[in-house]
Amino acid sequence: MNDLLYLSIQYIRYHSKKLFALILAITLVSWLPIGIQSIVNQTADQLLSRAEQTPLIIGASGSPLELSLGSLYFRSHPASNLNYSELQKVEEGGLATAIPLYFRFHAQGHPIVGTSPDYLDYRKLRFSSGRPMALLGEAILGAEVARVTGLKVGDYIISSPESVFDIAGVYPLKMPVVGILAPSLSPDDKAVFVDIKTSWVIEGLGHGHQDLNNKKASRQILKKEGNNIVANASVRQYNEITKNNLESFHFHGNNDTHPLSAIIPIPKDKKSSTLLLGRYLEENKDTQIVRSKKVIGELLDTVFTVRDYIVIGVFIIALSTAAIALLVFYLSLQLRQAERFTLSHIGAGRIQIYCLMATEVITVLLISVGLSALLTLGTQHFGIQLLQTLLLT
Amino acid sequence: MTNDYFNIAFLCFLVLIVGCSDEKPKEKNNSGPINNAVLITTLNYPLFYFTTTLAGDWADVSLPVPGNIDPALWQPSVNDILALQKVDLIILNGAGYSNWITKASVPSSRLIDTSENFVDQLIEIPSDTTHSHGPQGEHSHGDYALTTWMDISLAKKQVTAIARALSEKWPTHEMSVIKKEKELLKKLTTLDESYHAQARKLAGKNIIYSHPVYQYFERRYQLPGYSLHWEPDQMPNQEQWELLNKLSHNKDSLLIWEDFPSQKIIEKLNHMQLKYTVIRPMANKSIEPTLKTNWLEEQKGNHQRMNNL
Repeated sequence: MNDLLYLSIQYIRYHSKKLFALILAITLVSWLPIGIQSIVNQTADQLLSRAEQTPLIIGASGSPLELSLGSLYFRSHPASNLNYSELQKVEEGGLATAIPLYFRFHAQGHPIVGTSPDYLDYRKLRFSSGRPMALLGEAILGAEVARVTGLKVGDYIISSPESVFDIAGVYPLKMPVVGILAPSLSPDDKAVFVDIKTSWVIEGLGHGHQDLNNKKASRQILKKEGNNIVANASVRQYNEITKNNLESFHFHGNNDTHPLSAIIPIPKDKKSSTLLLGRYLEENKDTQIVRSKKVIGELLDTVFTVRDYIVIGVFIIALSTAAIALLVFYLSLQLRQAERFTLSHIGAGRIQIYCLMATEVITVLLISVGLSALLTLGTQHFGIQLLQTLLLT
Repeated sequence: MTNDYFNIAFLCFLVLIVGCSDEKPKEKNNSGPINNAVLITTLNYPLFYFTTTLAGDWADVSLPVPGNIDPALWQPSVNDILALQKVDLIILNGAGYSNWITKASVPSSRLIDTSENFVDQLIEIPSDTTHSHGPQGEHSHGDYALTTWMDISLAKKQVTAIARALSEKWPTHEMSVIKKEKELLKKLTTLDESYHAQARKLAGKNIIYSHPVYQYFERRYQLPGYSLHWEPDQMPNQEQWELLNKLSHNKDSLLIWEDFPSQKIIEKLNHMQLKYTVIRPMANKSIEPTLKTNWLEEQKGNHQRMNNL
């Protein structure tokens, strides 16, 4: 047996390049369909789990898919906004707690999500450093944002203007970073979180400026109407909220009309959920409520169809690879005819010769299957993370 | 030779396994309290009293404002705000009281504005300045008088707002809350009637208030007066005494204090032969350890002092 093993190993060493090519080809074609299935299923599970964690989303009337994708992944902002008064309507009667979302703005390419502290508990987000936002103007960074920007607690992040050329538009706001979230392997890693009121400050609905009652502000006054001072456009507005100017920040008009991108309702129980659904399905033409799992599920059906076509294609390639591999083995056997003759003449038995010939096939198959199994295991455990890392870099 | 190959393969396998392990970064736990106690925070003493009366037997009711600070002027620290994010309900007075809440990150679902249902009865401060930007711009908000509970009819509405919020959020305690609400409203009605009776006796007097915290009291009990800006523990200056003298001279005057004035002030008032009494709004708990009382008892004390005039 040792002689057989020795001869087999020597054969493999001598033909290592050919065998390596065969192993690589068979490993890839046997792993690819399984790997693709695994990654697509894992991605689908992640997408669906995000949607399952967020069963209902309320938004302005429009595309349910755009609302779901925007609210779950902060990819795009819906075409129309909700009013803040809608959040109060949701909470009236105690049917549900409502979490506001406003993700119109960005900071260095990362979405700024205006929300309430309830969002952190809802998503079970934890901190690797720092604390949640407590005051107007404070920001917390997702793990990926912190990694890419290199920002730490105590640093600052500045919101991006929507358009370089719109000088009368949204002013950048410099926000202190008070917390960094631990990785959650979700879109929350790539977002900057602020209080909903901070996002309204970024929009310009709230601001802080010098006290117009002060004598030094006389040049900033257009006119006085009774107890009301009308300021002109030269009033300098603060672009950073600090302990010293926090008191000066205020909102004009009614908060009820301030914008939201979406609301995540958290119904008290199943009955409340049904009542809430019924309320929106009956009453509102300006607003909609979507079941995000259903919407994402429909999107995934399309993805699965594409996946199935790819898998069929890979399967056909696998068949052709198998045919080529068989041809290579057959040709290899033919070439080893002289070897078999020599072995027979030096006293090797028939079974020993067959075993030696079979070594090549068995070795290639065993190693391929082993590697394929390892790759499959690796894909199941690390595939999504690797893919995300590759896509990000 | 064969053993060498196996050893190398085994080592490679080990390296693969160790290299592919991922270390989770250290995480900070930001979860809330471990136990399931109901946590309710109130932001002034009357609300604390009302809430404790309605739910004190099944909820942990707190008033985080230190005893030596006027809750209307209290500015919470970051840690105070983070603690507020963890409670189940925050009872607000409304009317601009605790205005810091507009700049703090606190979920709106936990906030109960007890003045929401009588916004039309709030008293605007007439001298307050607002501003707008440009001729068409919206005005900023003016300020309202804060001590809504000094009008006992409004205090009753605040009690009802708290009871409704408690019943909605914790329906299992609804019956108990309703029962206690009825009892408390009855006591407040009695107090309201007592104030009316005492106020009728003071009709026609020249009332001077030591501090502008009685706007709702003045309106409810028909006791309009002039408000000074005096503190009971700070001796007024000469100019202030002259103003008081001018306001009270040759008139049947009564000076109403928000708390017991210092001995030196009492002596001066006695010298001026100016009557005074104490009607305590009790916005915060008393810090005197010997004064074991509650808000309602303090209001009864107010009534008693008015009766003793």
